Order: sequence, then C-alpha cells, then structure tokens
Amino acid sequence: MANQDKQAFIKDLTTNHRRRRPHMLPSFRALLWFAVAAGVSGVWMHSAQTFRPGFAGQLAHHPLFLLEIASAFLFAAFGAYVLMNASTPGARNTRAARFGLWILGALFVAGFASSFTHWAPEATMAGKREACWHEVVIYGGVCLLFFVVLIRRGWVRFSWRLGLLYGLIAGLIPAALMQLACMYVPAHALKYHYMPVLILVPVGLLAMRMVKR
Amino acid sequence: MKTLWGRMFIQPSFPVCNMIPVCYCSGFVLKRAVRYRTGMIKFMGTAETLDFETMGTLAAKAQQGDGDAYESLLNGLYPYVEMVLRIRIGFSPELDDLTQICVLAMHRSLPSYHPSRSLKPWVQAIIRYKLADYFRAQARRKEFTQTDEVIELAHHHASADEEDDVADRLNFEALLKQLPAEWATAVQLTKLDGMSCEEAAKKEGVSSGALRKRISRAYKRLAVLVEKELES
Repeated sequence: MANQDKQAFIKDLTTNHRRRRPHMLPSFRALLWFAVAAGVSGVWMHSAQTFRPGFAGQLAHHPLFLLEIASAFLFAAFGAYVLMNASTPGARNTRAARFGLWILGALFVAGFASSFTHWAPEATMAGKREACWHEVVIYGGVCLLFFVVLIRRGWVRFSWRLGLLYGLIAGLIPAALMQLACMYVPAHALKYHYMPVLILVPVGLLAMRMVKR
Repeated sequence: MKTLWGRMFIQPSFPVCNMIPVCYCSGFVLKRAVRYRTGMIKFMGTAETLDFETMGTLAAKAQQGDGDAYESLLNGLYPYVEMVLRIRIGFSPELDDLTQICVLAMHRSLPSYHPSRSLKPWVQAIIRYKLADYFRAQARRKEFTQTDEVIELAHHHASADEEDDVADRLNFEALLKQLPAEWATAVQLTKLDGMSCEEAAKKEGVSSGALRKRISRAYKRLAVLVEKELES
C-alpha cells in the first residue's frame, strides 16, 4: 500500500515534467549582482552630477583611501557571494569565507578611520552635492531590490546575522561611490555617506523575512 | 550484549535487532540509541547502493527535461530520504508525510542543483531544512496539545452530566463557523473527512505547505475559542 502511494506520488511529480534550467552558480550570481549594482549606481550618480574632479589622483596617491574604497567594494561583492551561497542548498560557507568577510570589514573600518589622520587626502569641497545621503539611500534601495530579485530564486533561510548583510552590502556600494563623487570631508562622509547605510539594514532584514522559505 | 551490538553492525539483515528495544533496553536513552542503530542497519543497505554520481547525472538530465531520468532519480532518492528521516525521527507516524514533503521540496528546488556540484550535500541540505521546519512545527504543536490536555482534564473532572454539558458547549461545528472559510475547510477536509494533506491540498488547489499553514492557524484560533467557550 505504502509502495503504491510512493509510486503514485512520484508519478504525479514526473508527469508533465519539462526542462528546468539550473540556476547560475552562487559566485556568478554574486558577481552579476555586484557588476550591475555598481554599474547602475555609478552611471546614475554620474548622470545626476559628475564625480568629484581629481578623485582618481587621490586614489593613486593615498593608499589608505584606496584601501577604504577597495575594501568597501570587495566587502559588498564577497558579502553577496556569502549570501548567495547561504541561499543555495548544499553550498555551505566555509569558515575561511566567513573569516574573510570579517577581515574585509575590518580593513574597510581601518581604511575609513585613517581618513581622520594626516595620511588621508586633503579635505575638499569640490563635487559637493545637495542631497548626497538621499542618493545613497535611493541607489542602495535599488541595489537591494535587485539583490532580492536574484536571491529569491534560491532557498533563503532566515538568520539575523546574514539578514544584516543584505542592507549593508547594498548600501555600501553607493556609499563608497559617493566617497568618490561628493566632497571629501571625513566627518561629512561618516554622517552623510556611511550612516544612511544603517537605514537600509532593517530594510534588508525585512526583505530577508519576505523572501525566506 | 556487546557481541550483539557488534553483530548488529556487521549483519545488516540481523532479524533480532527489532526485538532489542523490548528484550534488553529500558530507558529513553537506550531506546533512542537502539532506534538509531536499527535505523542505521536498514539505512546502510540503501546508502551504500545509492550512487550519488549516477544520481547527479540523472538530476542533470532531469533538468534538461528527461522524464524517465527524473523518475529514476526520484525513485532512487525516495528510500534514501525515508531512511535518513527514520534515523532522525524514528518510526514516527509522520515519517511518510515528512518523506513526501522532502521529496516535494527537492522537486520544487531542482533548478537550485548545479550539475557541476555533488548531489549529496544538496539532498542532505534539503532534508536538514525540512527537518528543522518539522521540529519547529512540533514545538509549536506542543502548545496546542497543552490546550487539549486542559480540555481532557475538564472532561476527567466532570461528572457524566457535566461531560455532556462540556460537549454541548464545545459545539465543534459552531466553532468552525467562527474561523475564516479557508481555514475551516482545511480542518474539515483533513480532520473530519479524513483526507491526507496532499489530497486536501489538491482539492483546494493550493500547495500542501499552504494547507498545513491554514490548519496550523486554524488550530491556534480554535484553541483560543475553546478556552473562551469553557470560561463563559
């Protein structure tokens, strides 16, 4: 009887079986998200107002500033990879991956903290924007939306720690770009470029709750 | 005893193993251990013959739309899932339901398997997720059984007349009418008409998960309603 049930059940699932393309690997999905999120944010930001003149020179001559921006981007990309991995059954995040994320986060904090020292580029009002923090929230929201679209195809399990990453990685991309586009004053950067990312963190948690299985 | 344990592991088909809990073991821990080992013995036969490489190839073919490969894949995975679950939850009456839930989840998440990866961690992860859901649901259900115990206690203490009185007061149909129509139908089909969750879900045109959710919510509301009725 149980065997008949089993056969009927399997038959039920296999009738009308059609082609079902496998999802992309988590690393590809993360890379795709990062490329699109950074590209769209960058182009949108540039079209609203051009980037700060001389930002490339600042990056080239101040390695700690370069470290801050590079580690922010790497943190976002690697965070996306960790989240995509966590939403794929059977693809576990290794301890090294989780540790790597912490290292990148620490590098970013160290890089930004160095902007308050004399190693940082000289403060400048060039490239000042009227509503830079609004822009960070809007672009970050778009990045988050795209991330949710990509990740909802996977198998998302709710976790507070990973939920915090959603908003953080989405907000960090426009925030880091804003460091290149808006005026360079460390206190302003903390208040109007990086703090708005915290607004996206609860939104990210909410998004995770919505897409969880 | 020690030799017997050894024999149980060496000979998977050792017939006495099912009698061990009754004959030798007393106490919860020992029973659990024996249940685990007897499960392991039956499981070993399936696990050893289940070739995950071949299964992975079948899964890749199934993703391309090969129905026969898909049927072979599910036929291969079904007993494996059943055995893994038997080890974890024992010979529970919910074993069949849970096995089907796991296989259904695999069916739905087939695109999340990538052919370049091994199938085994994918299968095991899905079983783990569904088991976690099951244990979570079980913990939630404990609240309802507590409510049931209150009612049973009320019956126990009441005299025959009072029992009729309680039964009269707990008019189940009237209580059902107080629930949203979808929830009431779900309870009606599964608990009163005796349908399985899958059958009821099919009849209602929803997924079995959605139907279970409805039943669970209906129970919660019913528990509150019953308490209110008994108080008034």
